[in-house]
Amino acid sequence: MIPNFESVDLARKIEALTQVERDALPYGVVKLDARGVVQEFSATEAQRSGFKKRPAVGHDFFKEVAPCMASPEMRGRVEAAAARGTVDIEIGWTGDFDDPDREIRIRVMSASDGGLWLFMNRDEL
Amino acid sequence: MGHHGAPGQGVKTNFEPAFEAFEQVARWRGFAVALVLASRDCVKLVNLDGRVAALNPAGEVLLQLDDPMKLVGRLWEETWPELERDKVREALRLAKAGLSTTFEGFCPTAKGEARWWQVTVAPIIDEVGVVRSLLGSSRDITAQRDREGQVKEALTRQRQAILSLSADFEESARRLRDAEARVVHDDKLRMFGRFVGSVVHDFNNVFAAVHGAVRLLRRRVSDPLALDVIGHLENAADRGGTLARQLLDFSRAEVEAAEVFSPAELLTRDSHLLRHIVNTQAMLCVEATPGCWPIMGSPHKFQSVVFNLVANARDAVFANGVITVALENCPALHRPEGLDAADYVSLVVADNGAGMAEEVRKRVGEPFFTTKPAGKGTGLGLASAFELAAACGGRVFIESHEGSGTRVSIFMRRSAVEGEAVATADSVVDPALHGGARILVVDDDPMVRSHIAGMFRDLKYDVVEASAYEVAAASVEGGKSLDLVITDVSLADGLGDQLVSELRRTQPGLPAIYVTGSSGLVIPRDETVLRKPVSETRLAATVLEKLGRLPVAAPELALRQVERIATKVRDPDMKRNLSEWRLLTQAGRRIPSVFDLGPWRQEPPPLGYIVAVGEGDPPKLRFARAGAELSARLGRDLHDSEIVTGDEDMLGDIPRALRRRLDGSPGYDYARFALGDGKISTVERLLLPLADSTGRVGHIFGIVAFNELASTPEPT
Repeated sequence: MIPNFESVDLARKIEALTQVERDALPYGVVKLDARGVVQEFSATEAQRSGFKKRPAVGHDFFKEVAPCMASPEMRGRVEAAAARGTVDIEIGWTGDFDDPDREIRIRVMSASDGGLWLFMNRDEL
Repeated sequence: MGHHGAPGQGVKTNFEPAFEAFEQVARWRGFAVALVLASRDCVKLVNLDGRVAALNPAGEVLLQLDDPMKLVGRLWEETWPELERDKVREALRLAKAGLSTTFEGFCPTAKGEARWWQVTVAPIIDEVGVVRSLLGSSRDITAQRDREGQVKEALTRQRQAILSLSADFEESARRLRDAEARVVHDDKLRMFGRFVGSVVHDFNNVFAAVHGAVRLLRRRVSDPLALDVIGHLENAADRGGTLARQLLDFSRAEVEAAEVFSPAELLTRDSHLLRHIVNTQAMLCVEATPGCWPIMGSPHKFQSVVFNLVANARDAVFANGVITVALENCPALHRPEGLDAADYVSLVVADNGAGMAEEVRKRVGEPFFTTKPAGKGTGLGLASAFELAAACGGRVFIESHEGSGTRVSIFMRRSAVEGEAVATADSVVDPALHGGARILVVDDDPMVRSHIAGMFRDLKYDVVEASAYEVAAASVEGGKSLDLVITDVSLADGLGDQLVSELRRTQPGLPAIYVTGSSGLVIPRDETVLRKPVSETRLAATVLEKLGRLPVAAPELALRQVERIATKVRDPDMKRNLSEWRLLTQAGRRIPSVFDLGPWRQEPPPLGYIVAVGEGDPPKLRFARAGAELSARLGRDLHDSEIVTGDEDMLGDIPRALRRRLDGSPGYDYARFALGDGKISTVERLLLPLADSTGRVGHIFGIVAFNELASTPEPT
């Protein structure tokens, strides 16, 4: 059964799958280790993302993704959550792609090993 | 038997006359008695002292007397009502003098029934001519009198009706005369208006020429002192042009086609003229919210309504009078009862003056109804307000109480389409888009013509000039085909639109731009008409538009995107911004302009910003304005700072997100942070593209929303 992209414990459900199963998911899966290095890049993601480029998410999240959230307080909260393993961030874009009818949602969740899971869901409407 | 007996009757003859007389008297007495008894009238014998001596039987009946002896011995006049006694006395006096008279009088019967009598009073004269007594004979004429009364009453009524009709007629005639006088007055004003219009038309051409000359000088002069002088010249010409335009607007008497305009801009522009009207008689506060929505209607009508209402208010206030003119947006949610569901712009003119009495308040709005003396008011003030409201799909509300002032509110429906008045100063007219087309410039004023022609030659166009209809028609015959015509609406020897239709016979669909400086001309329908003085930017942009060289934002794509975003946005303010943008786009079939931001154009909301789209490929992006809170959060002043293009990465960067908006579609992104620390924080960002006056995306409005809510600890 395919874990629902919306589910609260999506990371745990994904961890219960094999890599082959993860490659077969309708949404992309990327695994970063605790240092932000990509450990796994699912086939779906590689195919869908189109740019075949390693995500830079772990590096400068606040500068590139959400500069408005770049307050010391927010940084502190995210770092603390990463340390605790309770990160659950969802980011969505509408109208930011060459094909204007596409939109993307990404979930960033703590992995049990201290790293991060990234789940990329592209809605084609 | 005669007086003269037969001869031989001697002595007998001496007595005969006496006998005869006696016999005659006796016979007459019998006759008289019989006559009196037989009469159907009331016959009375009245002594010389005026007392009734006897009454005939008919008299008893007519007077409804139980006992005739009650009457006998009484003064006859006393039996009459007070008012009639004079007539009786006079008749008795004349009778005593030997004259018989008749009068009509009113006297009730003994039982009180009303009777009218025709009374004849005659003397009873003895054989020697002495009045011995008097005879009163009264005939009951009540029935006859009643009929007469009815006829008289009817006559009186008719007479009154005729009188009131003639009074009405006189009133109508008076009003007609007044109306005629007013029409004559209005005609004079209108003629004066036309005169002013024609003079201003010439002024306009003068200013246009000055502008052209200054522009030429500026390009060829480098001396700073000369440049300074040129600057002064430019300012003066600008001021002159503005004045001319204002005069022209005011002289425009004909019914104008409705156009989209910014009432706030007009009101602001006219505020010093309004102050002039109010003079020192009152304090005038003009509050025009700069972000006021545009409306669709006649700008001239709007102006005249404002002027009329302010003049009304001025006439109503006393010392320490305060007149307020306020213009503000009234979103559909706040509209007063009785208005269709739509956004409105409300114009309120309020004073603390005399107010209106109830009966006056009921009649206001009737054309020509005025409480002012002749020459003081036309009675068209409020009537024109009602007209304006009706033309703008709105309504007028009047609150007024005697002694506590008047407040007239006019609700005008918001125009869904942006106006021509959209900030042209911000327009980007790329010279690279210009040139390489053949333009015919027709104007009978050589200064204006050479100004326009020069401007387009500078922009690398092939320009053909013509001074008149004939010349224009001839100059293109057999020559190269044209790409565009710019013509004055009225030419010395013909009309601009005739020329254009002539040209279109050989070149169907030839684009045309009309310019006009005068008032009262018939504006060709479905054509682009620019009013002089036309700014160069505006004219250049219009030429690009007509030549099809301006990309126009695609609203369909934009609307599709809006629908998708609308399901995602959570912040209520942001939802509202989005839905306004959608409404404007739907109604105008093009994306809204930076003008629609209203006051945000100068001062964005704390978490909002405006990005100006500049030249280049990719276009340079610059924060034109940024809200204070946003700058604080980012730790730097965003105002006027360049937005540098970052490396493209998977999650997208701001410049890229902004550049995506250049296709006219809005963009939205969000992030939701559930970090297991009891709070869920969200950040949303909405980017809305805005068109400049040429239809291209010239600005992008961005707004950010932060929200935080307490979260229940996630189950582990």
